[in-house]
Amino acid sequence: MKKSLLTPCLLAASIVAAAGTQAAELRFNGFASVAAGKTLSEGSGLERSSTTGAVIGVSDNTFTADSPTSGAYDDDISFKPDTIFGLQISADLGEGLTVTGQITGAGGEDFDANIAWAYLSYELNDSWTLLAGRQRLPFFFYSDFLDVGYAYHWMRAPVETQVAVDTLDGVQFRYEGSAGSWDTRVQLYGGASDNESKALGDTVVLEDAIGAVFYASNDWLQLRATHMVTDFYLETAGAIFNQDDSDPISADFTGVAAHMTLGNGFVVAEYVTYTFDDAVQPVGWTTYEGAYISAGYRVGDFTPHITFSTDNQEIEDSVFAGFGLTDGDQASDSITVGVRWDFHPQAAFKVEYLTRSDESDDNIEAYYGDNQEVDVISAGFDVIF
Amino acid sequence: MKSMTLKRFIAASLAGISLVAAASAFSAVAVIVHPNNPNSLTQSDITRIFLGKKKSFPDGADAIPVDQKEGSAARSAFVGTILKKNDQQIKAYWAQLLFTGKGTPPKEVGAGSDVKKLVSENPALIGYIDAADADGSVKVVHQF
Repeated sequence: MKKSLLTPCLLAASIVAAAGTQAAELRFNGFASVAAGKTLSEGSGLERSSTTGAVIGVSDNTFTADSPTSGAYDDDISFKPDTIFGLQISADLGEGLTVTGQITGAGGEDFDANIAWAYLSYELNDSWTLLAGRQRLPFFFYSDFLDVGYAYHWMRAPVETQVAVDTLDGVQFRYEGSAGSWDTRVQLYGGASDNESKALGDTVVLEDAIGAVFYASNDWLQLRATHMVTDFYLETAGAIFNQDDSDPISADFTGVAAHMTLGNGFVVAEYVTYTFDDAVQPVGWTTYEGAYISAGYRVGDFTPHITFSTDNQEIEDSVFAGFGLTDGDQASDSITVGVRWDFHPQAAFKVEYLTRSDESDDNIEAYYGDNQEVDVISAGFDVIF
Repeated sequence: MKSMTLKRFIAASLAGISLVAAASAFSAVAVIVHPNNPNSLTQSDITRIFLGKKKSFPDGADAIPVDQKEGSAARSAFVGTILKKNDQQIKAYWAQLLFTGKGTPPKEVGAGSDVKKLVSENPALIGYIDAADADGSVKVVHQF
């Protein structure tokens, strides 16, 4: 794979050189995850009309594996939710200037090609770099490389720390420095974006997004903290609910994470929370909290791992209160066990089992049914090239 | 007289132990730069340059790391001893950075002889080769 990609790369580079411009060095890289899974047992939830709140049916729970694309497993085997292909082309123009584009096709979006990254990067000096263009939002520890399964031990980063929107069109200033045995990185970013949501059947528009990430690492420890604020609204549904473009909801994201490497073992933990200045209607969402702790131990080419995760969504002042969606918490606890097998220098095989229980308040469970309860099995390959 | 013999015995034993220790490890690897490069580098300087955390030598001149091709014994030894990662961990590390605009892994330039030739021609480069192959065309800044 590497060789066959090198040829067009060298060809393209020589074409650019022959054209008499400064020789731009092109670099092609890619990643792929091909995975399948299904739910093994599932609770059933009450389906509610999105406009009136009335019960319109009862359905078996599904498991949303990839929030940005709404890719979800049900009781039939599906290859789509965790499957994604990505190709990145980068041109080094010299003197610290590079141009990079990354195209992805995710199963959750029926493999429609999507420009995930498209940016200019310029090294302002030894410490500061400017990125301008389309980027993944670095909400939480795994957010900006959620697509690159090879880079972590799970099939997917814990869904408790995934966010339905993932794109930023804007600028980012990045500082890199060191102090003693610590290396530090600070990212300051701002911008806007349109995010199509299959789950909502609408476009989520972000405006005036501003955020910062602080990251420090040494030989065995990585620490990360982030804060981000943004306004958002739904492009078309704004007329029905309160997410109107004239009066967008303002959201506020905070996250802290730590990753420890201890010999052949590792532990990673993260806590995230976001809150809205006004309950998101009709469902009355206000403050969300999610957290996980995960540990793994490498034995030869195998890395067995276990993860505990939990989340809690506060519901307040829902416009469906009259139908029973009164104030309370929608919550779940999950246990994930799995193993990663590095069977090839550029590929890993993973298999994973997840069981999630519904921990919602009684009044919330009365309204939605047991809609968090689900067990999922999934397996797949992650490749980089 | 007796103490002299004892000292010799101890010295000979220590020499023997270190020879055995050296032979049981991989053959030594040397980190090399251009002979005109005036910098002396600590192991952590070398680690930072090869992990993309530092883009210059201590004197401020550009530093560009070059890798041997994958699978070479020197590369595995370098990644394990200096970068303190195994082959999969270093790939996962670069995958995180490469696909998020945070860095690009060192260029793979071929065998040890290719690394030595390139480094001997370019003061910005830093690489690693079998210590036995080091000669006057390059300067050894670290050996392990």
